[in-house]
Amino acid sequence: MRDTHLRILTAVLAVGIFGLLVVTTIDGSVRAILNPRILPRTLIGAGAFAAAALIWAVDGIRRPHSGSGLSLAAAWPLLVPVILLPAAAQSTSSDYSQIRLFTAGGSGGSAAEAVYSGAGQSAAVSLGSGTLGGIAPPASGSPHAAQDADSAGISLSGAAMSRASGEREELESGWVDGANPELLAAVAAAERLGPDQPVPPESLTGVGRGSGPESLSPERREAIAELARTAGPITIDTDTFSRRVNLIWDDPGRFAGEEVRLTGFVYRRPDWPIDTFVVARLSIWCCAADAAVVGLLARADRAATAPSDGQWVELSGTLGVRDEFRAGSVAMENMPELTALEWTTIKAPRFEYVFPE
Amino acid sequence: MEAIRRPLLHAAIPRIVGSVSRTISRLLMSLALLAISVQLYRTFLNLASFRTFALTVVSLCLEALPFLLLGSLAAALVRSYLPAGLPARVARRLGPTGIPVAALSGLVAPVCECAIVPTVRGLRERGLPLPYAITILVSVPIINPVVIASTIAAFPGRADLVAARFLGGAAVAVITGFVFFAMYGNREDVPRPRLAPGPAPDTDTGTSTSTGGEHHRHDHHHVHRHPFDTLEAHAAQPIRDVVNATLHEFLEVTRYFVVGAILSSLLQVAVPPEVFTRLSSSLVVAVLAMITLAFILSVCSEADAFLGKAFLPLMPAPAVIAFLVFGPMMDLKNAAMLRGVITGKQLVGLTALLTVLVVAMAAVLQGVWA
Repeated sequence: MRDTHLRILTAVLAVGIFGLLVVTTIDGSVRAILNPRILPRTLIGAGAFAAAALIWAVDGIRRPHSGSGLSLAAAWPLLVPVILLPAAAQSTSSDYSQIRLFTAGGSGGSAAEAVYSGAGQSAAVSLGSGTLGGIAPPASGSPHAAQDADSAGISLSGAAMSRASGEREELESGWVDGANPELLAAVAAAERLGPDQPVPPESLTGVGRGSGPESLSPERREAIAELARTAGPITIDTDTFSRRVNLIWDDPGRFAGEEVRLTGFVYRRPDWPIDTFVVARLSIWCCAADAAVVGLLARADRAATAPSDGQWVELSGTLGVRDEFRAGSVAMENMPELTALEWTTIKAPRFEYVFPE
Repeated sequence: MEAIRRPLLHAAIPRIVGSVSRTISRLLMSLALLAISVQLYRTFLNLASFRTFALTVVSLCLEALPFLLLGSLAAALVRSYLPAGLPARVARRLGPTGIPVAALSGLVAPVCECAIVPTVRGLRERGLPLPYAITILVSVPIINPVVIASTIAAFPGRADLVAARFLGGAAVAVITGFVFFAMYGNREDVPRPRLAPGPAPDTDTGTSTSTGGEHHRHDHHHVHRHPFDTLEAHAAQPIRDVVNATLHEFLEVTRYFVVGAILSSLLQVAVPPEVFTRLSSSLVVAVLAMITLAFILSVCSEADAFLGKAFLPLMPAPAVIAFLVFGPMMDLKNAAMLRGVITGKQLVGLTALLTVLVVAMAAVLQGVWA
């Protein structure tokens, strides 16, 4: 008898999972969990499972003595996704991006590649170079700087430090909507680090050069040229996000001086300079477990005015090329960067996630 | 008659009243419990980390569902229709040359780890020797057309990385197979996990565990082994029998999978990914960090190349390749499912062997690239 109960429970849960999938497909919220590309196979799988479980249950009712050797408790794994689905559906990109890393965009042509350069590598924080919370230019212009175990570090000018402290006071006094723990942590880290203190060598890796835009396929180069020819500002929305951002990453030099408008959330790690953030989206190849943060780097004129982390913005800026960006969890070079920013804060769009081409 | 019935009725009334009041109190208690859990759940919903955890678990489960079902179907078919001695006979004939053959079997079976674990469970049940089973388990999730295609898509213009992943993966899989072959050969008396191999056939309900001790059976029901007849004996209802065997296998495997998915998601929420990328002070440390990350993340091998790409600017390329080779072979959800195929000891041995081989592979790659 117990076996029949298990079969009925399995059928109920299987139909429930299939039903939830169908409902979330219709209202679109499944896009936060699965790439539409793999949705058909998941729907077919869940449908087949529901049908098989129904056959199993009917068979169990008709022949109640057939033993399967499983108890009622064997159905618990099916309960887990059913119980957690409502919570998963309420998860937002900015929550989720906290456990995800920022990925260099593009087809890999211009993205930097880490090169192990031995224990002799060192990096130092230089003071007063004048760049506001920015990154010092590489000491050597050589593309093989990494192989020479070159040193390049975070430079925080005195002005940046004081402004950073000011920012924290403003935040703490509630001047900016919503506390910004990431930013506070960044300020704290910068203050703790202090001037002329070496960054632990294990926190940075060498940067070698990728193969560059010349390695791109002719079709790719044609697509880049076509996007660069666009009259007026380049507009990037949810549907074009992945493609256009990748094209810009592929050959940032080609887009220098272009105005770009895009929508995304503000992504920043605690160890980044406080004026730098990514206008980001989460990109899903199969399911949310492989989501990566993609987007364009943006640098605010004044650290104090940068929007707070996780905030959705409609932002426009002018594209330029940043030679290098290294900060703890990133090491990139020759990357697109937006400056002269203007933004308005907005509510999260209906479809937050983007999908690679 | 009346005289007999009346005392019976009198005796029955308190029983009925008692059972009604018991039912009501049970109902009230369940309602209270339900209300408390709903309230608790709503409190948890306000926690960003809980929502993130839920999203990871649900997405892992939904992505794997079709493959787990497909693998369970394959296992049911293997158990039903593959003659019991055939895999062992083929293995004996091939000898050690069978290991590289097994390593390439994924080229004709485009499935990833979720589908291959149940299938190999079925093959083991039909007599496939352990070394071949291990070789298939570690090679198919890497060396298959779907994974090759997605790796090329993730690294366009980087044929060296794509080649390193597949050649390195094949080498590690074949060496692992040979090590297990040297240890066990084609022996059949290899220790196996003590698990129910499949549903008890309908004909022997009398000998099944459905009598006595029912109450706690769910705690240890897996220690009962059932002889599993081939389904040819019940050819009258082939669809019904295959459905029964498939769902039985599915529930068995899903249990391990969900445990793995929950552990993986908990660790992902607790440990930020930067922790691993900071560990790049030497090649061995970087490789071990990436192996650990791959073990925790439990990403499908179809999609892991896109994550590997994110690490390319941060970690030396051999460590990224180690991530892409080790992850499909062994990760949290995989290890949990593998417990249904091999014993705990064999699992620990396999993990240690894979770690050593992947570190060695990364060192070789470093030498080739430098």
